[in-house]
Amino acid sequence: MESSTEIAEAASSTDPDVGLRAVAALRVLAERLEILQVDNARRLGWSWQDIAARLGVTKQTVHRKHGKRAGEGR
Amino acid sequence: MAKRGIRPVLERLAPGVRAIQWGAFDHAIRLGHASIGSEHVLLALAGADHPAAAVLRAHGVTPERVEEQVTRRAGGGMFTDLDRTALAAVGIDVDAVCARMTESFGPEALSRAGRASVRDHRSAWWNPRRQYVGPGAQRNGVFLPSRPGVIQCLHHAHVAEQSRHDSQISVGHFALGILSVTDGLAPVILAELSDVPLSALRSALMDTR
Repeated sequence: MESSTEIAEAASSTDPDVGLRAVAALRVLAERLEILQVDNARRLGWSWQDIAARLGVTKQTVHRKHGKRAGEGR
Repeated sequence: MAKRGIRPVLERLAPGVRAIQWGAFDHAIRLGHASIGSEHVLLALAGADHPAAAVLRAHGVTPERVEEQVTRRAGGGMFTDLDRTALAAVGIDVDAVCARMTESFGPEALSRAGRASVRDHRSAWWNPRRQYVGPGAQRNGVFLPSRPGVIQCLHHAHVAEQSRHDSQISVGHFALGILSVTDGLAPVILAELSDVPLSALRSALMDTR
């Protein structure tokens, strides 16, 4: 059986079905990694402001998305 | 279970199949994953006491090896429901990402992130109002959603049962079903562990009763 990479290469790279699914999957992956990275940064004592700056969003956004989970505070 | 077409199918499951489905639920709980996927079904099937399961084990798909694959690739549940084929099409190797994250942060951190991300509104099986509206299983007050691979396996098992004009969905049909699943980690784990192509595995299972 082919590996997923082989199947992916065989599929047309201009097929919108593949392309759009890839975009959606990248967004999900990015959200997952954001949770992981924000948790790590908070554990190391980073401020919401510094985290927000790296993510390119406001402090309010980061706090809203991750505040309850990664601990309240500055 | 939620889907309309699934109801008549569920009433015709052999006891062994029910046990495997609950086994999948138990494995997902034990591994700390936030949803039940085809990989948990495969894990339960590989350990089942049935000739079809013995065929899988004879070809390298054993519970120990499946579990090793699951724990390595799942990233504590963070990476189990990603569209790997789509990501591979843009050059993202999910296993490579998982390996790096595990190395950097350890399995515990990934488990925590996996559990936190189950309510990620971008996940296919949560609607935008953050309410879970699909199938799943519940026992002792704990509910886990079932990802599409679990339902696919049931569907393909039903198709196998129909094509053989049997009256009940047996573990044998279920084993054939898991080979046709496209969602979750079961396909990639089967491809990795089986010592023969999946078509040969399918033939071997068809010959078993």
